[in-house]
Parts: sequence; C-alpha cells; structure tokens
Amino acid sequence: MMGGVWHRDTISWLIVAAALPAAVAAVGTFGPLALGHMLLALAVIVFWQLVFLWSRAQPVSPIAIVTAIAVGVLAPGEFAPWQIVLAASFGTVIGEQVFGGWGRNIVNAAVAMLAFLYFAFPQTTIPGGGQLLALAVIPGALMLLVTGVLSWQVVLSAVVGTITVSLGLGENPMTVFASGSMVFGLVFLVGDPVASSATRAGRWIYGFLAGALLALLGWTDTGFDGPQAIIFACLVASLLAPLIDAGVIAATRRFWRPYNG
Amino acid sequence: MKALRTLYGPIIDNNPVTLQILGICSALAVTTSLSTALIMSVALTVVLMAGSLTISLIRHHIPTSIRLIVQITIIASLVIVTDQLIQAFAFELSQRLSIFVGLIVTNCLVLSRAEAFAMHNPPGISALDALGNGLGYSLILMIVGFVRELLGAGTLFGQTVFLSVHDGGWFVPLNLMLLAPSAFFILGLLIWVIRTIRPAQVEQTDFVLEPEIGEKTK
Amino acid sequence: MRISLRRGLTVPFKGEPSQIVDRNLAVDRIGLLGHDHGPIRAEVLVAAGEQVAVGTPVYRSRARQELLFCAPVSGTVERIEIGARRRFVEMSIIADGEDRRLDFDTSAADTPEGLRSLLLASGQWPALRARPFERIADPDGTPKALFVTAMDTAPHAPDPAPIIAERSQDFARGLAAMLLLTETPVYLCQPDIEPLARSSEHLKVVRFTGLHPAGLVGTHIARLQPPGDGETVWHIGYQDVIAIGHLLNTSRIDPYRIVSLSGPGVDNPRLVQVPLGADLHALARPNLTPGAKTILSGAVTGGRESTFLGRHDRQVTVVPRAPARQHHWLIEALRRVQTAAAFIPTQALEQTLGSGAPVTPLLRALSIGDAEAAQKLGCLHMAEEDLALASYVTGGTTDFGQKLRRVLDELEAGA
Repeated sequence: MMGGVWHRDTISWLIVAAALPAAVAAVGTFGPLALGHMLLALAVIVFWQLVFLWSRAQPVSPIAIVTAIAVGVLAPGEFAPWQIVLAASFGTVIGEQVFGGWGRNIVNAAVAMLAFLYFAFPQTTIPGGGQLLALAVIPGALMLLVTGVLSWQVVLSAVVGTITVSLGLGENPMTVFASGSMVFGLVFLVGDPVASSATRAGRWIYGFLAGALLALLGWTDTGFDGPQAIIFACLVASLLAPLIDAGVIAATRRFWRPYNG
Repeated sequence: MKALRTLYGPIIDNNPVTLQILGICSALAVTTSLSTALIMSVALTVVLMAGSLTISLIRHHIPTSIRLIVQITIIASLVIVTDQLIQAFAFELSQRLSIFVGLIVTNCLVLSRAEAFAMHNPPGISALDALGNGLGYSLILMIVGFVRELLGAGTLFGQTVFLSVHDGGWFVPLNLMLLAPSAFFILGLLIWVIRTIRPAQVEQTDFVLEPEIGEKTK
Repeated sequence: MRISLRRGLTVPFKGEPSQIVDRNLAVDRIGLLGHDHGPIRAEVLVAAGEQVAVGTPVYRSRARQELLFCAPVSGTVERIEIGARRRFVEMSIIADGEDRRLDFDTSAADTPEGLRSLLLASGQWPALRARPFERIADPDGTPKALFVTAMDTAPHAPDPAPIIAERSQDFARGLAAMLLLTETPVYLCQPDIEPLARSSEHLKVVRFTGLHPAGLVGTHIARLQPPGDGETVWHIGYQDVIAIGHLLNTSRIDPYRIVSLSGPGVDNPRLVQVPLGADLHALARPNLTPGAKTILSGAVTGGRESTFLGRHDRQVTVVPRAPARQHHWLIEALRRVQTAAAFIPTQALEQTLGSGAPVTPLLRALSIGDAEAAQKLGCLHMAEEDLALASYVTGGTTDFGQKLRRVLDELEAGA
C-alpha cells in the first residue's frame, strides 16, 4: 500500500523536534537538575518500552523523548532519583504501555507520570518556568499547527477557556500565559492528538474544559499556582474526552444526513 | 472432597475481590494499616459465616418474593451485633474503622454468597463456602494492607520496620499509599499478577485487533 | 443543484498524465478478475483453448443464471482459475487482433424488463453496483436512487468532460436507458461545469466542487440519498453508461475504456484506450523508466497491485518499488512480529471523509472490527475506495478498506 507521510513514527519525530527548544530553555532556566531528570526518565521509559516490545510485540516509539522532556520541564524540583524512576515507571506502564503503546492510550503518559509525582511527594516545591520557556515553546507550537498535528481548535478553545475563567475570577490572564510551564503544558499535554477528543465539536469542548479547569485550579489567594494546575486540568479533561465524544456523536448523528434541496 | 474444594476455591481461583470484583470499597478504605485490615477481615468473615449459616438453615421457609429483604434483615442484624462487639472490646480500632464495619451490610460479597449459594445449599457446605470467601477476601485485604502500611508509614501492625526520616532514619514514606488511588493500583497490579499465573481467569475480549494479510510495519 | 464540499485533500504526486488519448495501443492479453465483483459462485461456460468473440458469455453466476459475464476481446481462452467453493478467481484470454463482435437483439430494449434482460445477456449488468455492501445490483431489485458518476477527483484521473463530449450521443442514449431502468430518482453527479444533460423531474443533475474525495460516489450518496434501513442505492460510472449507449445504438458491445497511465514510473504519462481487463505489465513495459516498479490498477490511493486492469478501475499507476534493504536478522524479525502501530488523528485525517461523520471514531471502530459502532457512525453507504484516502494519509500501513470490507461482510451476514 502506498502511504503518505503521516505515519505514527513520523508524527512522533515531529513532536520531538517541536519540543527540543523547550527542553533547551528548561535546562537553561532550571539548571542541570532538569537535564538529569529528563535523561533518567528517558532511560526508564525506554526500558519499559523494550520490556513490552519483548513480551507483547508492541513497537517502540520516539514519543518517549517528549515524555521525558515534559518531566524535565514540569518537575524540575528536588526529587530523588528513585522517585523519578517510580513515577516514570508508573506513567509509562499504566499510562501508555498496557493500552498498546502511543496511539492507543487514554491519558498522556507524561500527565500520568507527573500526577503520580505530585500526589506521592507533595512536599517538594515545583518552580514554574518563566518567559524564556514560554517563548521557546512558540516555534514548535507553530510548526505543529501548520503541519496539522496540533489541533488549532484545542489550542484556541483552551486559551478562551483560561481567559474567560480568569476574568471571571477577577485575575489577569496574562500571568498564566507568561508562565512557561503553562504554555508547554497547553501545547504538548492538552494538545496531545491521541488523548484529546476525536470529534471536531468535541475538540472545542475538551479544549475549553481544559483551559477553564486550568484557571479554576490554578488561581489561589497568593497568585497563580503553577505546574500542578495544568497537570490536573489535563488529566481531568482527557479522562472526560471519550464522554464528550460520545455526547457529540449522539447529538449530531442526524446532521450527517443529506442537505434538503 | 467437594467440601474441601468449596473451602479453598475462593482463595485464589474464585477470589471474590480479584475475580468477581466484589467488596472493593472496603478493600480500599480500611487497608491503610494492617491492624484495621485484620479486624475488618475477621468481622466480615464472621458476618459472612453466621449469615450464610442462618439463611441456609431457614432457606426452605423464605418466600421467594421477599427473600432479598429477609436476607438483608438477617445480615444487618448480624452486622449491628458485630459492630457492638468491636466497640466493646477494641474501642480504639473501632474508631479508626468508623463507619466501615457498619457498611458490611452493603458489601455485595455478603449478599451475593447468601443469594447465590446459601439459598440453595445445606448449612454445612454453606458455612464452608462463606469461610472460603471470607478467607479469600481476607487474603487480599492483608496483602494490600501490608503493602500500604509498609510503604506508607514504614510500620507493620504499628511496629516500626523502616525508620522514617521524621524519626531520624532513612525511609521516606510514600504519601500516595495513604490515599485511596494507591489501593486501586495495588489491587490492579495484584490482579495482573494472578491472571498471569492463572490465565484461565482472563476474560474474553469483545474485539481483537487483527493483523492484515501482507501488512507492512514501518 | 450545486454542492460544495469543504473537506478534501490534494495528493501531491509526480507523473501527471497529459489529457490526449493514445488509441494505438495493442493489447494482446486480457484477464477477468473475480475480485472485482465480490464472491460469485461461477459456472464457467467455456474451456481453455476455445475461441471467443467480443460478447461471448464466458461465465455466469450459479445463483442467477441470467447474470452473464462476457469476453471483452476476441481470441482464445488461455487459463481459467476457480477457487474454493466454486468462487471465480481469474480467467485470461489471448487476443488475436481481429475485433469480432457478436450482435445482440436490442429490439425489446424500450421496456424496462427488456432492457434488463439485454443488459444481463450482454454482460453489461455487472457495471451496476449496489450499496450497502458494494455488490452487483440485484436484477430483480429496485433501488431507492441511481447515481451516475460523471466526475473523478482521484490523483491523475482522466477528465470525464472531454470523454463524454466526444461520445455525447452514446452517453445520452445510455443515460436515457438508466432513466428507463428505474422510476426512482437518477442523480447525475458531475463537476462544476455546464450540465451534461438537462435536469428534469426524473433526472437530477448535481454539480460538486471540492477536492478529493468529492468525486467518489460514496460522498455523493452520503450527501444526497444515503440508504436507510433495508434500502439499496445503485451506482454506475460514466464510461459504462457510454458503453451501454453504444450497445443500444449499434447492437454491439463496446469493450474499450479510457484509462490514465501515469505516475513517476512512466516516462510518457498519458491517457490510453484499452479493453477491459488489459494486461498491465505488457501495457506499461514500453514506457517504464529504469528501476524496479510496482504497477497498480487504480489510483495511488487505494490501487491494487494487479496483473490486469480492474473492471471498475480507470487508472493505471506505476510507482517505483522500494529496494529490499537487508537489516540485521533480529531487527527484521522484530519488525515482522510487531503489532501494527496505531494511527494518530491529525488535521489531515479530518479532511479525508466525504460524509460529515467523525473520522477518528469511525476508523477506530473499523480497526477493531466493531460492526455495530461502525454502522452507527455511518459505514453502510461506503466502499473500500472511500477509505483509501484515509489509509494513504495515515502512512499506508493499515488498509482501512480491507477492515471496512470485513465489517460489511459481517453486517451483510447478520442483516
């Protein structure tokens, strides 16, 4: 069979390329600790991918690099190595591999990994990224938008959702978008093509939900909270994504019928 | 021989928690420490045995249309008695178990053994079946409680095994183990291990991803 | 009526054919493929070595004895292959260069019943296909609507307008026959140009604009008259309508079709006039560029590697064959046993389905063979060609057409 370019591996290399500037900016902002976390997480993920390749013939995927970069960007705090190993094992095995690898998962593996990390070790503080990180995400995001890997409906509705709820709470939405961790999470975690909604209308709802939850969970009395908000917003939104799809399909079935006249 | 099968069947091969997936709620809630898990296991086994025995003794006299109400009444009375006994003789543990002993009434395991087995079988074998199921349930609770207490606090039955950093030791307690999701994860991993050893327990999938003839993999 | 389709894709592909028809090609071997018509239990009417003329019935369906399949060239039958359970697989005929054609009796063809028997007897009936399930139309059945497809948006497809303009009398006669065949609405689906026929109560001319898959009949059916519960719709291509018109005007079969010979593997991509079932290897060999090639019957999206031209295909695409690279034995073994990689939903994939249904849930349901979910998402009006673009866009490793065929077979058996 002849094929065009959008095979799973091509897409994953594209996302890796888009995430590399953010990785460099994260190492610049947070120091060598972030790089150490990234490499450790990458080693663990690759190990588990090979285990599942051996036991279940599941093909390995370069998306491991993006997951590792996400760990470095959103969890650069003082975590001990064994904590990173545990979280990475959990995230990749339970979040991705048991379902059949990238493309068949319900939640993003990085989201599962980071949620585990935040729940298990809540005493460690996590610094949010600054404007450098936010700017480093932009070129990658544009490339993904142009190639159609990142859905513009999700990005736009997430931004609208964040702005709406932030204004509703009486806060300044620009603080959110100035935080590099938030922008990274919006583009690479909320915008993950596999974990987000599959229908066109569903994407709008899913994006808006993720953005609204981000603002709702993030704004505290002392300002904007940080990486925890984006992770939990993304987790809840991607868990609800299949339900949103089912609702959209049930509601719009009669509109696939022909035009009248 | 059949009696023996009835007794040890529910421990691994027909375990109420890992195969029939019953009684999960209490399995999550009380397994933060081994002592509460043990008390809960004993309480449930006692209620299960007494309930199954009683229902089996009067099974021919229960009218079919109201049998569920009769069963629940019997089980509820037994649970109240058990709860009072625990409050009388182990008050501190009863405080920690709070409402979960009372919630044994709602535990689907108890009602399901009564309805599925005790209603149709003589008392002796019903009691054995109840004991077997109770032991199976207890086994799972103890395993989950063991993991959660050890990794969540470094203790077993309250005795320190790993000296935690709060007391000047090396062990960093895993906070996640004290939350409910950890019990789900441990239970899930346990079910995975059991079904790898006993593949007969794996359920039939509805759909299979079929390979195609001549399909290329890039 | 004009319908403009917003979703579609261009498939960038080298070797665009020039629209000048080359009629000087001699084809000395043709093949009839059982694959074109679905599983037919056949009764073969000729033997190997026998002489046939254009229009000689060579096999017929066991279930419907009047449904005949006729030879498109005159010559000698070379080889007949029957598969398991008497399913017709392949028959090849060596052409002898003389164009002997049988005469058919067209006197009774001005009544619907007479027309049907003529089409059945002359082997033209298999041109009419029915959906759902994409089988040969039931000769006793009545469709809800009949679609005449006079457009083709596949990459490198021949342009229908000049072909129809050249044979306008035959096309008009064939269209009149379609109107006679059934009382239900006949839709003539054409590109956004001057109407090819006059609209009336019975014949509705619909103009479609948009990129591929706007030209696929599946898209037209979805937009105009999707078959409901227990209903069928029929469809036929414009070149087959021209052939039927020719039969009614001259009492002889027209076995020739105009196909495009294109792709990066051909040094002179153009349109050629060949008989049905032409031997593709002999056809393409004089024009190949150097290097190993794969010859597909059909477009680059959804074409099948085949020795002979498919009955319903109007294109021959020649692409370079990737050389087999020797990898380490472990890598090769791993690659062979791996389960297929999942497809990733991208914006490009959203543009590949002609009906308005959501693409990703449909492809997921087809991947696991969930017939019920696929039916709810609207797979009954589709055939393999409607998913060819989706298979192409997701990298070509998963053939969604094949998966659709499996689901349709399951639904047909259960219906």
